[in-house]
Formats: sequence, structure tokens, C-alpha cells
Amino acid sequence: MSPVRSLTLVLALGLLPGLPAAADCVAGLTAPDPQSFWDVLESADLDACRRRSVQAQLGSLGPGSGDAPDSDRLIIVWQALVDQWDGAAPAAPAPLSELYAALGQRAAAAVQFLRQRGSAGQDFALPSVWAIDFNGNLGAVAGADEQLLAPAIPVRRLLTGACAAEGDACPQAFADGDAVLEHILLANGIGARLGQPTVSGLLDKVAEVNADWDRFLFDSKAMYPWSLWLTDVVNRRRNDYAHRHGLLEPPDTQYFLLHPAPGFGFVHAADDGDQLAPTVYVELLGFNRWRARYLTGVSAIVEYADRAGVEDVSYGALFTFANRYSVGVTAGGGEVGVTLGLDLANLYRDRLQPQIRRIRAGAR
Amino acid sequence: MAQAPHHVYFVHGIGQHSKNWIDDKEPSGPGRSLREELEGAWKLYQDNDRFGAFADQLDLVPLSYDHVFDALYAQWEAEVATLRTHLAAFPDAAAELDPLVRIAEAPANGTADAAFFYTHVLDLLWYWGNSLIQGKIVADVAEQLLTAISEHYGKPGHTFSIVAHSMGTSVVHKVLQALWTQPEYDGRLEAGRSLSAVLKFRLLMQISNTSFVLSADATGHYRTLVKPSSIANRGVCATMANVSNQFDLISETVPFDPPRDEWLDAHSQIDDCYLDILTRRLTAPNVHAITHYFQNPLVHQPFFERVLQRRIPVALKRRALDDFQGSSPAAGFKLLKQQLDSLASRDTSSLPRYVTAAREFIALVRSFDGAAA
Repeated sequence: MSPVRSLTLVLALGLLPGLPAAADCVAGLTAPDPQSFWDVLESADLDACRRRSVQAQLGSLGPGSGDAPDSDRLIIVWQALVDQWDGAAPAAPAPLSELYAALGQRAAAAVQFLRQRGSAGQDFALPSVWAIDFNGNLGAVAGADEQLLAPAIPVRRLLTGACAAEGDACPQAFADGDAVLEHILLANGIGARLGQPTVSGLLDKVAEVNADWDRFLFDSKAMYPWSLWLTDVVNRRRNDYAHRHGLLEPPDTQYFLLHPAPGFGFVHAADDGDQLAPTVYVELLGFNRWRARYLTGVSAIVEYADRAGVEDVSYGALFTFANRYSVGVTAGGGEVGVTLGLDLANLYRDRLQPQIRRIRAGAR
Repeated sequence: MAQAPHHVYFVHGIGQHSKNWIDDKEPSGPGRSLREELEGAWKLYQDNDRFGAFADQLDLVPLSYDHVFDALYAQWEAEVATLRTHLAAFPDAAAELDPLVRIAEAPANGTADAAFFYTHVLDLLWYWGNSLIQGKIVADVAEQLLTAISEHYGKPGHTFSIVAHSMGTSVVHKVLQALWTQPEYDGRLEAGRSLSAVLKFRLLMQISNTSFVLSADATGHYRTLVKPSSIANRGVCATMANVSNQFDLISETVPFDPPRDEWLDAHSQIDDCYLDILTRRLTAPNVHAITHYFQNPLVHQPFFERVLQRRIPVALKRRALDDFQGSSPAAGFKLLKQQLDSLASRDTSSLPRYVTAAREFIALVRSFDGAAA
């Protein structure tokens, strides 16, 4: 980044000569004693005050970018935190100086990562590393090889120690503690700016997988319970949940077993008036590739129809198109027939037949 | 009113649940909703306005997956309805196909005398026994969870916790394991970075934990990433609470019981990251109900403390516990306890035997519910 751009950004952010002053949420409040120090410092009202202050500071950074957080802006804030804590450490009394030094080191690791991507300290710039836990600590930070990169920082112990060192009441430690907690909250907030694309990206992926499941289960060819069972059994090795990583995605193929369905069949050899008749067919065994565009499935079928002049039962093959429209060819008693699944028959009735009528009327 | 910063996502167990199930009144016992139960408990610790107003601190969000089963059963029912119209013209074929047709339409219709099977057991069997249904449920709950989190992620001081109950504990376990291992996000982060640094839950509370018994991989269950850690960029949560009641056969017959020394890292063993809470009081016939659990201070006290990260004074905790024990004498529900003890001695070494025992347990509880009413 050019010096001019750096200065412009810093001025725009109001970060000269350093971080904005903490909100001083404790102004006007009675300083606590060491026993109640942490409870008071972490009370609901003070917590809310600090959150409002940090929200305003984050707002001054401008909106976060969903895909590419502005590392340049984040580096400036991190560096300001480093300068704040490193600058305060030498002059602070013993417990506080230790705290400031540890916080400064942790923030410096965040700056180093943002400046040199691929360094070992990548997680220092992310929010979990800046979250105080139930024991009042910022947790230790582990590296990729599980060795610790940084020890835990005992924030509560050190701040409470500073209060105890001050006396029965500790107005200075109270104010210092409030400022430290606010700056840790700020670090957590800018860490979340860097983490935001991960959360958004993960949500996008999860939503995509969930939508695929909806297509597989509800928007493609409907599976009865036993077909759902068969599809699961066939894919069991692939679906072995315990050894997978990430969300299970639906298999590419549905399998059908004894799948009954209504339809309409045409057998030319049947008696007049019986050639086209309602039928019921059962897909004895078949499959459907639900992601395919045109021909999606093939099944072996047995068909039942009540027609005069031909056999009631015939056997054949059924072809499914676009997960829904089925047409089959059957043979029974030496006679060949054509079967349409109900959806295809309805498509013909609702869409094609009116068009055919219009065309014929126009031709006349 | 300022937005509540502590978001808690609740995932239900077996049975029928509305979309806003945390506001539905529990049909047995005191008849309060889960939200009412928590709001009532909150008041016990409000000396000096300690926690602030409930609505200013806690955002309770129900997540649900009943709609997956409802949609599936409705689909079968619709397919069968169309088929039946056609079958009316083919009595011979209709007779042959009748067994299949009845199987397909049964889940949506149920029968009065087998209603419990269709509202409880069938969902469990589909979830446990069919990886496709399980995959859809896990993806659906994962999307609900991340969508809700995304609304507040990055807001300063906003935290995220999860409370799961019964079968929901298994769902949550699989959701978290899937999210933490999803290969896709490697493209968004530097290689080797754990999702823990980006998103870590403050509390994961597993009530009546069935994640182990419903796991297809018993030997590997405790080697998943779903564990707490006090190391900032490790673990899915800072605190994990495993909650059970000694009379709750759903969780006690095959309990979640990780080997602590191997399961937790050394820091987390020291730092009290894992709470194993076993309650012993029976204050209502339905010992398995989530509201029954939260009535007990041994459950709601750590819930408030760990979500808000503020300690309740020992004196207040003691007083609440004494009041609770005083209002629910140990001799209460004596006959029910005797029968529950008898059930507890049953063999539950396989899932079918576990399901049988669970059915009898719930039937027993329901019979006492009816008597109490």
C-alpha cells in the first residue's frame, strides 16, 4: 500500500494518533473492590456499553466485504492495537504490564499473518482467538502441528490482580479493565471480518447440498419407502457416514423396486373402444438418474389393463424422461402396446391436445 | 430494545413439534413451554439485576426437522391417492398391490392404536436406518443453523450456543462433524486452518444424549471433532455439557461416556470444559421431556452461567437447589421410579432391544401422565 493511501485510510478511519478512545463505560460508576471487580466489570450494562462502542468503531471501517475482506484496513486496526498495548506495557504496574505485553504479542502475530499470508500465525487474526472464556482467559493458540503457538492469557486474573494491588477500591484498574475488554472486543470484531467469507461460503455450500436433497427426494421421481430403502442399500458403501468428511450429498441414481403407478395404454389389437384404456403398471426393477436432462430412467414393468380382445397382463420396458414423464413398450399375448405414465398422459391432455386442436382448427 | 447478544439454537428430539416448538406448552407436568421454563428459572438469580432482562440477553431460536418426515409421508400419501383412483378399476391388481399401498400410506395416516409408533418410533427408525433421510435432515438443520448464525456473525459481543435434546443430539453431532470437515471451505481458508478459529460455539448442551447409541460407528464416535476445547482455535465449543437423568432410559441405557484422558486435550481437562451432569429427581412423569430437565437447577444454572459467562453466587445457587428439592420430595412418583428401575435392568445391547425398551419406557411414562392428569 502506498504511503499516501495508508495515510488517507488512517485519517478516514480517525485512527491517528491511535485507536479511538474507549467509550469509558465506567465513567461515573463507583469503583468496585477486588472481590466484586470481575462481576462488576462483566455486568450486563457495561457489556452492552462496550458492544455499542465497538459496533460504532466497526461501522467506521465501512461495510465488510462478503468475499474479500479488506486486509489493508484490518492491518491498520491490528497495528493500532499492537501500538496501544506495546506502548502501555512498559509504564503499567506489574499485572497490567504483563497483560498488555501478552495482548500486544498476540495482535502482532495477527499483523504478521495479514502481511505475509501463509505464515504459521494464521489464526491470530480470527475471532475465536479473541474470545474470553468462562475462566476469564483468552485461550491458548495451537498451530497446524498441534504444538502451542501462544499460551493462554489470564485476562481476569491479571486485571483482578491490578485491582487488588490498587487497594480496597480500584478506580484506575476499573477504567483500565474496561478499556482492555473493549479493545479485546474490537479485536474479536475485526477478526470476524476476516472470518465472514468462510461462514458465507460454508452457508452457500450447505444450501446447495440441501437444495440437491430436496430435488432428489421431492422434485424428481417419487420413491416409495421400499425404493428409498433399496437406493440406500445400493449406495451404502458410498454413504458410510462415519468415514466421510463433510455433508453427505444425494447419490446420482435412484433405484425402484415394485413401484406401482397409474397410466394409460394403447394396444392397437384390442377391440374398438378398448384400444386406449387406463392401466396400472408396476416397475419391477429400475433406476432413474435424477440429475440427467432428458432420458433419466429405465425400468422393467408388468402392466395390468382390462381390455377386450387382448391379454390383461403384459410385460415390457418403461423409459422415464425429465424425472417425470414415462413411456413404455409392452407385449402380452403376442400383442404390442404403448403405455404412458399419468404425468405424460396429463401433459398430453392439458398442453398438447389443445395445441393440436388449435392447429387443426386453423388448418380448416 | 437492544438486540439480545447470546443466541441459543434448540434442536428437538423425536415426537411431533411445531416450527416454534420452544413456545409450545409441554402437555405433561406443570404444562409450561421451554421458553417459560427458562424465563422462570432466570428470575431466581436476578438479585441486583445480575443478568439484566431475559429478552435483552438471550435470543432463543428453535430449529426443527419434522418437516422432512412430514413432506416424505405426504408425498407417499399423495402418490397412493392417485394410484387408488386408478386401482378402483382393477380389483384383482388392487388386491395384489394392497400390502404395498398400505405400507406407503400408513405413516401419513397412522392408526389410533399405533399412533405413538407413527409419531415417534418411525421417525427414529428412518433417521437411524436410512442414510438418505439422515443426510437430508443433517443438511437441512445445518442450513437452518448457519442461516441463523449468519444474521448475527460479526456483531460485537454476539455469541452462539446450541442445546439439543434426545434424537436432536445425534443430529447436532452429525451437523457439527460435517461442518467442521466440509472440504469445500478449504477453498476459502488457508490450508490446514480449523473452522474453530472462525466459528466456535460457547456452549453445546446435549440433553438426553443419544448421539452415541444412534451412531453407526461406535468405535469411532469419540474420535470425531465434536468435543470442547479451551484452546482457542480447537474444538467445536468452549464448553460441552452432557445432561441425563438417572430415570431417563433414552439416554441412560447406552450413555454418552467418552474416555476423558484420550478425548480431551490436556488443557481442556484442567479447564473444566466438559460438564457431565446426572440429575436424580423426578418432578413430573415425563422424565425425558426437555422442560423437565430445565426445571432442575443442576441443569439451568450451568446453562445460564456458560451462555452468559457470568457466575451465579454460590448462595443463590444453593437456595435455588434447596427450594427445588423441597418442592419435589424424593418420595414423589415412588411407583413410577420402581417401574423405571425395573426397565433399566433390561438388556439393551442392540438397537432393536434399545428401541423396544425405549418404547416401553415412554409408554410407562405416558400411563403415569394420564393418571396424574
